[in-house]
Amino acid sequence: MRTNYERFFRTEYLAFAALLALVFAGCDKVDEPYIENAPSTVDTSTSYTRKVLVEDFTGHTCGNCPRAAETAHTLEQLYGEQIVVVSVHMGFFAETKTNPDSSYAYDFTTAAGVAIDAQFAIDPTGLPKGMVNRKDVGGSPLLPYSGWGSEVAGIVVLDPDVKIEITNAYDELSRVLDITADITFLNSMNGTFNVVAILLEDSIVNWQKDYDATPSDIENYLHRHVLRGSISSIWGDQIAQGSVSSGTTTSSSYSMTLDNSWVDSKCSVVVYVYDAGSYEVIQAETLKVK
Amino acid sequence: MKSGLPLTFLILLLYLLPTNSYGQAGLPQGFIPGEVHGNFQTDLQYYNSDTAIGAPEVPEKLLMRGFANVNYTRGKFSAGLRYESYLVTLQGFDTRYDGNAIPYRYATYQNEKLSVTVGSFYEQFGNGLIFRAYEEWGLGYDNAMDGIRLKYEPLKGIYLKGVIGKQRYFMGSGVGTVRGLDLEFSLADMFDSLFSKTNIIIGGGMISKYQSDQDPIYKLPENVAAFAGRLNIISGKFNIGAEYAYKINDPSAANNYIYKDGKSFLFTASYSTKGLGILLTAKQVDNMDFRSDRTADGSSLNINYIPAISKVHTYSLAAYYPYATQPNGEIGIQGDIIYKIKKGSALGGKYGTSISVNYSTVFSIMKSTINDTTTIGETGTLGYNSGFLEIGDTKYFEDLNINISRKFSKKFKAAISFMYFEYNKDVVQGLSGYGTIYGNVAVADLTFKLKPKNTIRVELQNLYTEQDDGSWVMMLAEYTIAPHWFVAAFDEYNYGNDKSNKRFHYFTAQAGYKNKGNTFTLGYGRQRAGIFCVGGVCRNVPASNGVTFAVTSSF
Repeated sequence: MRTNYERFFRTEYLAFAALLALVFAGCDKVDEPYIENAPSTVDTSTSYTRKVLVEDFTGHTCGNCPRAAETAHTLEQLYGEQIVVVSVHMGFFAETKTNPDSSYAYDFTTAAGVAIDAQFAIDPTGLPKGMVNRKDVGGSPLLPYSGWGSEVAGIVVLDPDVKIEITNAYDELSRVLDITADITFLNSMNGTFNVVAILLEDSIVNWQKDYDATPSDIENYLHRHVLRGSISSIWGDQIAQGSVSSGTTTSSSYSMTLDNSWVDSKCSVVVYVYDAGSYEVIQAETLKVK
Repeated sequence: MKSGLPLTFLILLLYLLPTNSYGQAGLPQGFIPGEVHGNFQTDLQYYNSDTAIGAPEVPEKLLMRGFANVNYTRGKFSAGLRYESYLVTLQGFDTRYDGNAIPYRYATYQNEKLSVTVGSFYEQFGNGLIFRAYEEWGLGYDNAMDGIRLKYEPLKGIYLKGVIGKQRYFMGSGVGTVRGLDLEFSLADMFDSLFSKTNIIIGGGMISKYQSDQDPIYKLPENVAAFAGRLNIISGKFNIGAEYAYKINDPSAANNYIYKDGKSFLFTASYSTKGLGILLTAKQVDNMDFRSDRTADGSSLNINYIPAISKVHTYSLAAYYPYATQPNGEIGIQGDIIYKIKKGSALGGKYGTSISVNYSTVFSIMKSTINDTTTIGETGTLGYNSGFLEIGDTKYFEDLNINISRKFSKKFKAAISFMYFEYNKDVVQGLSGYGTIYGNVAVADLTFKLKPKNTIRVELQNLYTEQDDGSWVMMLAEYTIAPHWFVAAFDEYNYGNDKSNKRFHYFTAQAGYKNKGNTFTLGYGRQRAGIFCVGGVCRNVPASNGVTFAVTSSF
């Protein structure tokens, strides 16, 4: 028996030690500072760049959702105009309440939000969740908020496939907003492409639950980039199909009357183009209503 | 999941199967016939809307989840697969389990001292503090590895395991890669003569995960390793075990991107003799949430598993507030004593009486700031300082329970249980504003044997608390005609709810038939709603009202 063990330790110890070394090598110690230097942002006024749609699925009684909003804000600071954030209130945590202090009575939900939730089955997976360009990541486009940054970083460096130009005409008296989205394909593409126009209102002050705050019900929470509704139909209009050559242009016009309770100076239009086969968004653009 | 590999396995199975069905006479000598085994389960529910308890209308009306395992074994070779179907999955389960797929398939063979598995596998190192791949169908949890596993026993009593793969993530796999090694020495197997009465098992393992860093906010380690060492001494009636695990910097969504190392310690000691069993457990967990994708939320892509050290209750109201391990930090102990009073003694009665007492408590760990300018747990920092076995000042959970069961005659036995608990709902469920729930539970469980094959069982349970939804009472009656039939009905009544219009009855009726490995269960009832927060996301499991039907079968 002893000779067996001696033989083992002579012949197989080396192989085992080599394996151990391999695993030990799989160990990266990071030293301070732990925060990255800000990426060099592209000057979007002089060159046309890829712009990424970040959808933040949230609800006013979702106590972890402010963490996702903070992440979206950090990414806005890093990427400036290269990302377009849309907060979509949806599902159980967006339901209104009839509390005595009238907290959570305000209805943030929209028909578009309900349709997006139904299409991607988001609410049953738990909130917060998000999508970056609705791009499929490992079988689902749904991403936890801490995964948004890596996805954005991977997309913003790509050259844009289409260019979106929005023009607005807004009448303050009638509150009628007319928009035109002119789209130019910058590369030859293949597929079916739709254009969608939506309206956002920024900086709505209302109740929000936050599990990291004490007390956890915040009356004057600042709700950013809130989806107010679709200007086009919810899934938009087809602008191109099949083999689309570079230089192809299309133009889509829409009209909407702003609700009287919305602050028009805080409203903006978002237009995005997506591949109707995969739902993946290929470009987004935004413009203030006034 | 790629479909090419399962198809290859199916073809392989079809090729191998006919050899099994030939008559024995035509087979060459030494031929080992193959065997096919498997099991199947499907759960269906038909949903009614019920506005009183908040059960929503379900557009599909009928939802279903099911699976079948098919395993083929022939000598030292085995292969198998699991087909899963979610059309659409039941309410309360993650909707990313969707459609039909073969997410699990494997082939294994044993050659001399080496066992090779390719494809999917479940595995564990030690207690699981650094690595455990497992599944729990009832919870909708599955983190199976997909890759390669080698098990090698170079000499008797020396066990080496190597694993590499990606983890299952709903119907696909996670982005990270997990690789690891585990070595175990069982001294009694190695040196028969020296360790005839006592066995000492020494083991150690390491796991490293790789995930690329494209994050624009943090500088992240792409390779994160965890190490664990363990010792087990088994001598006669005593069994003592300890395991310590350490993880290097692993900033993730689960720990709010702090760069602190992680530590975990588990100690168990047990003594068992005829009529008496004693178990003591102690545990500390500090920043040990370990996942193959640092952005993962919920309960997905966990690499390790921290064992729970509180009693798993089977009576429904005792299990109403179950504790869940807090991998970011907790410290706790558990003691468990089971004593059987002798048959025929004054206290034990003619048929004997058994008493079990169980106590567990869990606290936060002590954390202190790393410097004057950083708050505890601040993102992008070392997070906090912590010591070894230093108890914090927040109680997460406490449970003292006593169970006495006694058989009075051939026709009657009874069990009574008492329980006192404290449950920090905010911490355990990841919520805020609910505080701690203090309660008592009493249960009487009475079994009457009417005829040799006919049994009636009655449960009466009461949960008393002034917090949360208030008190509950539960009554159950179950009639069994062995060995095939059972019918049961129970009602949970929230009589202590502060709001008198929320004092609902949750009534359920069930009937089942069992025969030769097949079980059919038909039920009708109401289920409560609940909000569950795990790993930074909250899910609402809606209340439901409907008919359930389940079939389980094995062959």
